[in-house]
Amino acid sequence: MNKEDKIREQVQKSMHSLEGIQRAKADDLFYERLIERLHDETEGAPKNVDSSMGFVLAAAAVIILLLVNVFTIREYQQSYGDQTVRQENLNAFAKEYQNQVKIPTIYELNTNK
Amino acid sequence: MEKYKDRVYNTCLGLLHQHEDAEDVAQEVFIQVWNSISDFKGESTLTTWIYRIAVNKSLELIRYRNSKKRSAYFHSVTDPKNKPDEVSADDSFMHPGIALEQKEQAEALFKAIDKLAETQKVAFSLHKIEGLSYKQIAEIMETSLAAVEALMYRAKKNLRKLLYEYYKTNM
Repeated sequence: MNKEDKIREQVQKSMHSLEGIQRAKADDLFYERLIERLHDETEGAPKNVDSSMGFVLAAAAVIILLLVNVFTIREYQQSYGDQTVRQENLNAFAKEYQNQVKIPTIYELNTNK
Repeated sequence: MEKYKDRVYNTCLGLLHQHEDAEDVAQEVFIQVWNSISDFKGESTLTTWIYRIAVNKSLELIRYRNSKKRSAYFHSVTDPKNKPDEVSADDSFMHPGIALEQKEQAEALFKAIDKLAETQKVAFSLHKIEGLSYKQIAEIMETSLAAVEALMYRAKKNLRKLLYEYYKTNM
């Protein structure tokens, strides 16, 4: 038998080597380990929050949001009011300055000559 | 559970070729069955459903191993100080259900099975190691009977080719 034939024979043997295979059995402690793991998973899982508690939390969140909104609006209105007063002051100052410092026109300058 | 324990473990072992991983995945299968039994719609039999979970979970681990292998290889190329992690399946895997006189040939076969494409590996392992019929495999893989026949044909053809190369270099 030459090498080629030997290789082909080994290939055939290998292809049939799984015939009559027995099912592998899980370890004897498989069940105990599984129960332990299931127990760990259920222990570690977050507990369900009571539905009434959930409602209270949602209501509290809405109230906080409303308060923040009211506070922001009031702050905005206040700063807008301040701006108006500042503008009025500026206008008054400009008017006063205009009355006090009279800038001569070109005709007035010519007549003074 | 007693009915499915060994079936699930044997299926996982047939695909993963690693005893510890097979037990871990088998346990995950039962945890998923426990958590999602209410989602089981009865469109397939309970046995098919459990086998499907076992196959999917095993494939998830194989894909994870392959991605780790790829990244380890990449790191070893970019940084020679980094040695690849040992995440591959046991090279000298031997199924405990193999007869003693066939162990040597079976070892070469398992090495070749590891090199098969995913779907071919699943079909071949479920048929040869778990002893399922083509019809059952088609239900588990959610495909047609003809597709399973084609997968088995290609798996055997590729295995012969891989074994031929193996013996050519090792004889």
